[in-house]
Amino acid sequence: MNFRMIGKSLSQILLLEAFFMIPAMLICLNDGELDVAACFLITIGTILVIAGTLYLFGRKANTSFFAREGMICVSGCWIAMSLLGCLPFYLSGQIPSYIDALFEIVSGFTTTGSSILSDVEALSRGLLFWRSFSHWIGGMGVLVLLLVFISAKNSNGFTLHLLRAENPGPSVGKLVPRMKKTATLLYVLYLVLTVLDFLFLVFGGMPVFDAVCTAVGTAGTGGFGIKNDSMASYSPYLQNVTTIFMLLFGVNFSCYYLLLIGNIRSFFKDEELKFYFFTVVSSIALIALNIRNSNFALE
Amino acid sequence: MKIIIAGIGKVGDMLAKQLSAEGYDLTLVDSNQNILESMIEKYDVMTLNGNCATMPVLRQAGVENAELLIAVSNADEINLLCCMTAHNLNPNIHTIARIRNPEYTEQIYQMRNAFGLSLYVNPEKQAAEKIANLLRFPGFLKRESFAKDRVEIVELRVDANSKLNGVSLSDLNNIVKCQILVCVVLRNKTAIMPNERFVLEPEDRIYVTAPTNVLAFLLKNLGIITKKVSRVILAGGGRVSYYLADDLERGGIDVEIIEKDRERCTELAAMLPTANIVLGDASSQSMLESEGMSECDAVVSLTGLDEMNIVISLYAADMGIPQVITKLGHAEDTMILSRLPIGSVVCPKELCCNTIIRYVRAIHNQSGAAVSVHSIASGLAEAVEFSVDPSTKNCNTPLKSIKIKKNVLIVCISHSGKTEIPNGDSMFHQGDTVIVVTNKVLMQLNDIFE
Repeated sequence: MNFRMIGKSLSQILLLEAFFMIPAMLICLNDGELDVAACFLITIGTILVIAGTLYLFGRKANTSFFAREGMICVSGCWIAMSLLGCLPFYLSGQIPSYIDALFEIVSGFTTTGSSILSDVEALSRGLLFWRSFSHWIGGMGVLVLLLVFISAKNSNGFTLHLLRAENPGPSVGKLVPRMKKTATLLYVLYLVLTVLDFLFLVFGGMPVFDAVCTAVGTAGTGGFGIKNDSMASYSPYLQNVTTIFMLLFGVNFSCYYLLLIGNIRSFFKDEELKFYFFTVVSSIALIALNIRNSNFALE
Repeated sequence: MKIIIAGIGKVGDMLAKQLSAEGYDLTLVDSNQNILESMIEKYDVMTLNGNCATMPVLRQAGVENAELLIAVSNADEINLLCCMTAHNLNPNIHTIARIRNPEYTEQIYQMRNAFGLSLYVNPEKQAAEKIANLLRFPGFLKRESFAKDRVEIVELRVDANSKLNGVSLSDLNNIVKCQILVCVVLRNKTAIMPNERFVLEPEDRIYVTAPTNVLAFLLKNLGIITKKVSRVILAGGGRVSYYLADDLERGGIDVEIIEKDRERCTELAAMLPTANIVLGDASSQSMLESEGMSECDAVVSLTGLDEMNIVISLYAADMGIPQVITKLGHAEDTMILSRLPIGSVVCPKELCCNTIIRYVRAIHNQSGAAVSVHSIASGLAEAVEFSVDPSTKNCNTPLKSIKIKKNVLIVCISHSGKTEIPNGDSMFHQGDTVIVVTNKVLMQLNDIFE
């Protein structure tokens, strides 16, 4: 097992996480919540120290990287990111128990969307943003993002085994021959769709902060909202926009690539896409049928 | 640049490795999903499962915007059909097909436009030519020819009792009494680009640049055998054996082929009327002895099994046969073999890949591209031949005043028929051929300058 190489890759991933915390910290600074901003700063510092140590450890690694290393690296990456990513919640005291904070961030990174918070609105805006943003990071996978940045040459084994371990299915679906280009394309599509969602929400009168949080949460197909009643207090237009984008982000991104290169025929012939929409539509029908006659009051 | 490789066998695998490392976008097509999955595991490529000679599969592989199709499946006919179909879908595509059956040679040559072929390769024929070349100058482990066969890079092994043992490179020219240059030394699995003070040790493998016309002289002065090869035993009667025997017989060398399949023996006997075909198992030592192995000048192991070839060659070397040549089909790591006395190693798939890679590099850089590329020192270094054209920088400047990258060595400059091992005052002019040895990937001659 090439632990040095794993250490080196982990250090790069943690560096990305530290970078992702910066917007949340800036929001805190903007809101004048210096103590929360300080919590983010401490977390970023901690991450940098750990990443630095790992980098020094893995500096002289030989570059052999196989499936086993890939598995360890991917699981290690999500664990390390969660253990460190929950620190702002814990340090600020807004989620007093470390275990609760960990639950919250794991739920975020895995885009599960379950929460231990009964009063979401009590959190400061920086923390709320970080909470929603964790969906966005988890949605496409931070490892895929890492592949965008590392050099495509002479990293054959590395990129392949990382993506294979990160990918839940039996085989990696590539859009174009090069892993780096595939990863870049995926993130560009992801980013464009997110921005589109954001623009639709802002156009519908949603405050910018709410729109960003909702858009990144929707992009990751997660469930974190920033209101106690989730989307209920927003206008029907905003709810509909979010519904549509939830559906769109659930689609396999390879299909968007087909659209992008103008291969519309293959897009509509895609079995997976057909089944996806069939499942959604039939579920809607069944649920509607099920709740047709029950009148329950909204809480 | 987008490249499609159709058919993934030994050559396809090697091409995928080399070309993906050089930064080309590859799509591999094969009908065996298991092989494709192992490719995805190893290299950064895209794969497609299907019959590579059909239109839908080729379209899906993106033949319309690919620049090159390499058809190296195991059937010649499929390779040809694949190239024809691809050419029909995209008239601008370059196509390379592997054609191994000697019966097709004539029609491939005459109908290459009808087939839409840009290049065809025959690994077995190339291997046979390589071996015949080695047999012409017994004593060298490898020969790579450059500049229209006027310059060679040859491989020699330094033995404990060799005249080269303990000699520093500055004294080398006094011993060999001709103009040569040691460009790479392979020692302990690393390739060294030696300087003047470098001292040769036993077990070193040295790569020497020399004009072709001094090779015989060089062998004589080094005290290595100079007797002309007149009788050769070929173990195994495959395609390489056929091509080689045909070539050698024409050069007046007696050939004996030992093959264990009766039908193949009859076939060979019909195709090679003057050669001596023996039915028997070449791996049996008594068989080899009874065929008079000890009196022959060279043994070439050409059976289909690498292990068998190694064993036959070890035995031949042990018997004191002056020239032993081993064919290896896989040869993933020739490093471990370099310690064994199995003589020269020839690997058909490697020769075939080198030809294809040279072609790929040439269409990638239209001007200033490498004329030929040869991998030396177990693949740790490359010898690249360039021609100096108007786009080349630093023409007519003495080499000592040009800044050249580290680990790049200009080993030869060939001016209109005259070859020169360069020194600090040498310069190259437009139209010259320059040979460079390096451990980097060089696309054009201008890449060697700082």
